[in-house]
Amino acid sequence: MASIELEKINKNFPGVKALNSISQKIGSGEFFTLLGPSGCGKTTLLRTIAGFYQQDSGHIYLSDKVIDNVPAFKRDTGMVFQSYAVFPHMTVYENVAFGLKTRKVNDSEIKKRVLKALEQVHLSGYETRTPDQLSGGQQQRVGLARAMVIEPKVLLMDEPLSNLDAKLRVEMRTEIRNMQRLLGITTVYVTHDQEEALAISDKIAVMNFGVIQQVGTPWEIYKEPANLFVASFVGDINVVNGASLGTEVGLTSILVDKNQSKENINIAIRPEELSIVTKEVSGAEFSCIPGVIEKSSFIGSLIRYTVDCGNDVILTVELHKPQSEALMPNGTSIFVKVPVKSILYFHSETGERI
Amino acid sequence: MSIRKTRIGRFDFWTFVTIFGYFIVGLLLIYPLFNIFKASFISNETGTLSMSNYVEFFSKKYYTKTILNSLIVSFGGTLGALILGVPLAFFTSRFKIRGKTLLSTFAVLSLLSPPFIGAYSWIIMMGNNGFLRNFLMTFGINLPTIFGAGGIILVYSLQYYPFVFLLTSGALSNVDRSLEEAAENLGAKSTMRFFRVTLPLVIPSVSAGALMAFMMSLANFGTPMIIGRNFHVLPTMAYNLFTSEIGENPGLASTVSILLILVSTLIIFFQRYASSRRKYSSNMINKQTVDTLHGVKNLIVHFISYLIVSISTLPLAVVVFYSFKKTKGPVFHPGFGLQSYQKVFHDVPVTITNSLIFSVTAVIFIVIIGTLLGFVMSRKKNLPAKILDPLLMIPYIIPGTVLGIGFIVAFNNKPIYLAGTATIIIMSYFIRRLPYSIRSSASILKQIDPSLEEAGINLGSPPGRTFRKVTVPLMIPGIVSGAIMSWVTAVNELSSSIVLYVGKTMTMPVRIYLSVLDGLFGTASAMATILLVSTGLALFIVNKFLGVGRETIAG
Repeated sequence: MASIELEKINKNFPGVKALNSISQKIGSGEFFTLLGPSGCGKTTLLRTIAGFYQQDSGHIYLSDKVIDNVPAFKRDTGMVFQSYAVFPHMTVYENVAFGLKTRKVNDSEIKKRVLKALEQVHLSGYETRTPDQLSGGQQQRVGLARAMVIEPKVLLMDEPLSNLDAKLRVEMRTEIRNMQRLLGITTVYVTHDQEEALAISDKIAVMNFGVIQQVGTPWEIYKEPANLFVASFVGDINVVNGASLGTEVGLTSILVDKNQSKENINIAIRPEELSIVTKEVSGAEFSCIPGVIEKSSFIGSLIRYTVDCGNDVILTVELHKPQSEALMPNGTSIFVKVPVKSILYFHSETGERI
Repeated sequence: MSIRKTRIGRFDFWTFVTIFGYFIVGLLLIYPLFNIFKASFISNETGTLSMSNYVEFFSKKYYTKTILNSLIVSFGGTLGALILGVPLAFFTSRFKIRGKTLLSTFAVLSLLSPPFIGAYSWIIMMGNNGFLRNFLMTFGINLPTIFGAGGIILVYSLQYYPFVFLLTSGALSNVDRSLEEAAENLGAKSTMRFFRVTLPLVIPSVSAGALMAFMMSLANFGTPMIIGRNFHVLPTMAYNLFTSEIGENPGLASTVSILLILVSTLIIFFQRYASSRRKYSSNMINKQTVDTLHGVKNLIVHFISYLIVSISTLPLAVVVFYSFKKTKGPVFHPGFGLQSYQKVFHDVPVTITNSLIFSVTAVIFIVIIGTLLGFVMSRKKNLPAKILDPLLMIPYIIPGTVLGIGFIVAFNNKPIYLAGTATIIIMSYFIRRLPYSIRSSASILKQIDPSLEEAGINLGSPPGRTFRKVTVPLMIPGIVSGAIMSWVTAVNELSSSIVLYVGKTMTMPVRIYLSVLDGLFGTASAMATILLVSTGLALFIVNKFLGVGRETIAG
């Protein structure tokens, strides 16, 4: 168990600033996720921690010891790869034993630990199989067992589930999370899948353009996004410029409250916060915007409406647990009911939360 | 918390390997080539620096004609290789052909057999008194002899079409079937589909195969020497000028060598330029299927495929056949016997041991150094590695004769005196076949996920140990097929050892060549058969256990 501290890490690749002055502390035993679109620098950061890349400047501390010049094979991190990277010329047993052998652990101890690790990943009895006899999910379990069995200071996972099919992905992420809790091992997890990040993490760092945009619990990241990028990358959100919205009473009063002119503000609201009503309702907590249903799609647990409110304002509304009367034909005039408390305000130029 | 500077580059084992790579290139390629270059400017009469050799070459039609001759037979051979190779590739990869594996094995065998065996065998068949020619003459068919440009072109075509065949069939099976189905869906008939969709997609591979055929034809020494008669090409001219007892002229020989390198370099660049705009990437989603033909079509396709391979294998069969014929002295007698073999083992057993020792020694070095350099070439993206890569491929453009001359010129004086030693022959084998091993190592590394090496390192294994425990075991198929290809081509090597050998370092191909010149067809056939069988066995092993090393053969 160890804490990680990153101090002003910079890394450039030809023509790209992959990591831009990254500073972050990761607590001992924490499940810490790096989330972002491809090319945001999340994998670069993980590989820098592992020692496969050397940062151009800045320092990495593992349990308060600087490891900048420690080569990758001495860093004592356990990595799980996107491509599994299970040695194809070794059996399952030999794969898991590999790290212990390099550490000169004696054979009986190796056997004990390998068997235990395989049991933990539900692969008991697979010791003599070779990787080509395993499914993708099983191979990744071998990768996981191999990384855990050395009892590394930190576990590094580079999109470990992205090559698995959807159902297995959900299953495996629960298992990974349970095991991490059980062992209490500090884990850095890279993914581009926001749902996976929300489900699995203690803390999430949302990254873009080599910069950490926000760090927080899954709840904070989703409910209190620090900027427009985080708000729109994690979950769906409607974003409308203040100027487009006319002079509806509720909205205007809030805009005035924020001491900003309408043009400088983007307001944003998650589709599930909105609802559709056929008659205008008024009250301090609600605001109603008239519109016409342009499109609706039924996807089982919810109906998603696209509502044209004029002025180029298009809102997505999600209605959960839909009843049959909720099915409205396109072209129906309705009102979108906006709970004022759920509105998020962002500066229209910087994208920062107001 | 100390603030240390982060390291920019690390001096590790691979840095050392890269430096060693430069050392090899410097000593075994640049240095000899530079010596040839220098020698080409030294006048034979005055011994001073001058342009006289170039002036002499270009002022005499006797010399300039060799350039034209070289180009004629090389283009002719290449064209022939295309005519034979492309249809065979198409037939065997798209239609069900019985005995397909056998066909491709024989094709590869004729490619890798000693280059002059074919030529010599054609003399037996189609020489002045050739049995095939005589046989046809009884029907009133009077064919020309094999001697001269036409014969050389025939031999080249039959020997080098496997390059085109192997590369084209590889490419054909990598064309996504959906593309052809799309063409069909859009209304294209089968001929239009082939010429408008399939063929253009495999053109880069066809032209790469053609390039290989051209380069090999251009560099070939044994064939024009044996059946060229007075038809001289650049390699034979260089050899004659360099070694002839009377009128020896190393300066002019060097000039010819330089011109030969120049021609091959130009051709390479031309091919690169022409195919640079034709690079297709395709996502292989639908694999090709093999159609079963019926009736006449099926018959025709089988007939053509077998005809091509049979004709190219015919010279080999003739050689084997003649090796078992009864002989008395140089003359064949009716009936069969083992005299030729007895003679080989009695008279020249040393050539067999020489060939074996030289080639195996060279291959050991080739395997070790080629594997390490192959790793550097495919895994290290630094500038020194990127520059080293093309340098290590120089042997592809240097004809063996030229390298032999270069070695003699370079290593016949202080500080390195190696003329007449086994070392110089081993060194020439080593440098000429090293690219095979580098290529096959590098190409198998492309199929090995770098994450595997990272996983090893991440688990605490230092880079050197990871290379041994993870990378090398996974590279074994590539290493073995590279080693066997290197060995097969080294043991059959003539064009540089003919320049480098002395009596005690004579190898089998040299002996065969000399026997042919002396009219000792029996011993020549017996030795050629020994070479052929060992070559065939080696190829069989590769094929059986690892699949044909297509990448390795065709570079």
